[in-house]
Amino acid sequence: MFASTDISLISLIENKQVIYAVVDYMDSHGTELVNEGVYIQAVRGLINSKTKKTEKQRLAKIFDLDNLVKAGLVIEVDKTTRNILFHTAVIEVFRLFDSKRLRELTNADLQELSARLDNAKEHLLAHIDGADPQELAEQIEMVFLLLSEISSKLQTNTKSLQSKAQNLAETIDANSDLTTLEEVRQKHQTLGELQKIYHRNILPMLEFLNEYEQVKGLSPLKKIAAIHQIFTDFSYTDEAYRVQQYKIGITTHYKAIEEISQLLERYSRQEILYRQQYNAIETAYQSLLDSAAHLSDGKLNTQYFNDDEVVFNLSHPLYGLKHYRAAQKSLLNWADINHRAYLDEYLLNAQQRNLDETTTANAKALVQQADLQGQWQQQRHQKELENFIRKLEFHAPVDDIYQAIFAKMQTDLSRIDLSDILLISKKLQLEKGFNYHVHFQLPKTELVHQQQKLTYWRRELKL
Amino acid sequence: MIQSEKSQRIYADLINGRIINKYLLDQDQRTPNPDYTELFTNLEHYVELYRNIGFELVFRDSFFFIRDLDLGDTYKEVAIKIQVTLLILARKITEAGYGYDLLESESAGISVQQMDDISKQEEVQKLISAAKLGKKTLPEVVKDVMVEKRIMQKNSHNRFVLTDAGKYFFSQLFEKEILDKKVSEKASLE
Repeated sequence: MFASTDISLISLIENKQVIYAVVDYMDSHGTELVNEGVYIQAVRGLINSKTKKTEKQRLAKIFDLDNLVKAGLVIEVDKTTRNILFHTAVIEVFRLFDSKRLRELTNADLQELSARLDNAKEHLLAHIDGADPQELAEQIEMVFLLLSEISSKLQTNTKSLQSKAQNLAETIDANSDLTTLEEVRQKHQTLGELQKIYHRNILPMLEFLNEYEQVKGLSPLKKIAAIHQIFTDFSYTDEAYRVQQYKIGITTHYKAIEEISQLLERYSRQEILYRQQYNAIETAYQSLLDSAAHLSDGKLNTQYFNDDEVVFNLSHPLYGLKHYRAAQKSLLNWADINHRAYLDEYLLNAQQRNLDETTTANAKALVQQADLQGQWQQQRHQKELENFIRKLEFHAPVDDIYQAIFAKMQTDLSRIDLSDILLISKKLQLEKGFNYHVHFQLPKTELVHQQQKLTYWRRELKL
Repeated sequence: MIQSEKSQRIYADLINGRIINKYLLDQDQRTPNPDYTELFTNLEHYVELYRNIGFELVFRDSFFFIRDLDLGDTYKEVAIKIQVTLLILARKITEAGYGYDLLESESAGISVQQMDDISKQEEVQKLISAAKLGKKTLPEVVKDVMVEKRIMQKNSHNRFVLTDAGKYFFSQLFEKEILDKKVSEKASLE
């Protein structure tokens, strides 16, 4: 049984997935010929999805290749290569159903349009004097048919590119976890497709729509402007106006294409970023392996990494991170002292610093600045303090230990921070067993150095 | 205003060598860490507090930790253990075809099975041992060091992802790569 062309076409339209599979194959392989196996697989999928036996039989007959050839929807089935050639009109109809499957203009297509503009301009110029009115009328009609075709193709192309780029971008963004290799492969494949669109379709379009770009001579927009000028010069004002309107319409696509270009560039940068990340990890890991190799080459008598190796500068931000201390209590065990008085003293000192404690942004900036301006400077100061404390000697009794420490700091340290006095006295107490008596009953004492001021209760170093 | 309860909790973490990250993971979503907020909003106070008890409160933009003011001989030890583990994980997943995002994305992460497979490689065992991590397997190292120190955390799929501190390490590494590349490009032009 043979199904007529209209019935066959309606069935194809009602079951679009079959021809969509064909179109996808054509686009991904860049060919007009479709592998018979791809077509048969799509038809089988369709038939298997139906439950009624009669419907299965009907579809099997309609989608039979012999039937489609007789209906004129398929031009040829090559029995040797097992390739099918569908009628171009059928494929184009299905592309129109889905903007993602519209065929984009390639550089060759755009150059061909540009060349046709040249021809149209030359023919118009040859007949614009009106010596042969019928020929002139034909040339004018040709010009507007061409402009209409260009405008329509650019519109379809822009729509298609927008849709395709958006679709691929969404696929990448939606699949951000990448926990399986298949997901990673798909993402890279999608990124590759985006790159292809960028180079094959977007760049030529931007070139075509840029008035100042040279595409084999004048830019297409300049050629349209030249046609407009011919009409103007020979007082065909209506025609000149229509050409101008087409030119404006065509120019509007530039912005849309530029937006797509920016979207694609974002993903292109993502690819570059991946490569940089991969290289950075690879380089650091190889350095690590080199360091490990030195451990067993007999030059070093150790089985552990040498922490002075350059590669370990990478972990500089975490230097000093402490080991776990299982025995450490979570609460401080304060000595039996006057808590209230110590707290008051601390708060007083804190108040008197010139820093604005209420502005967290300032506080953050201060610490960040200190961090950025050189961790090494701070470390050097700490080392200097350590040495200072180690060498420090006092013989009890000392009436005011803070005053005594300050006097030594002025002679021995390159940088004086009055708050260091608190730290030094504490360290002397912990490490050298110094015993203080704090005179809470007496008025507070002050130490002033440059812009700093330390107010405290006098501490006496006792025997 | 200092909040006593938070302050004590922060102390318990910091004194045990744990990092306070800017964000916590809740149902694979990043949520602000109240302890980080407490430290950040009262930064001046906490810097002073820890300084007075012999520590430096280190602030790295997206995390905090403390270190002794008197840096001993082993002050790089923990950092090196972390660096070695992070580089093993990153290199082995990129080698297998994954992207670095596997470690970074909160809902992705590396599984125990994947780490077990990596652990079996002789090269990896050698690196772990050289970093003074003994004969531990990679999942053990991740659990005992990386999660304990809060360089990594477990997500709802039982996979391990980087915390802010872990991400910071890699951001520094990638910045260095870009910088090195620029320097070498400039040198080749000259």
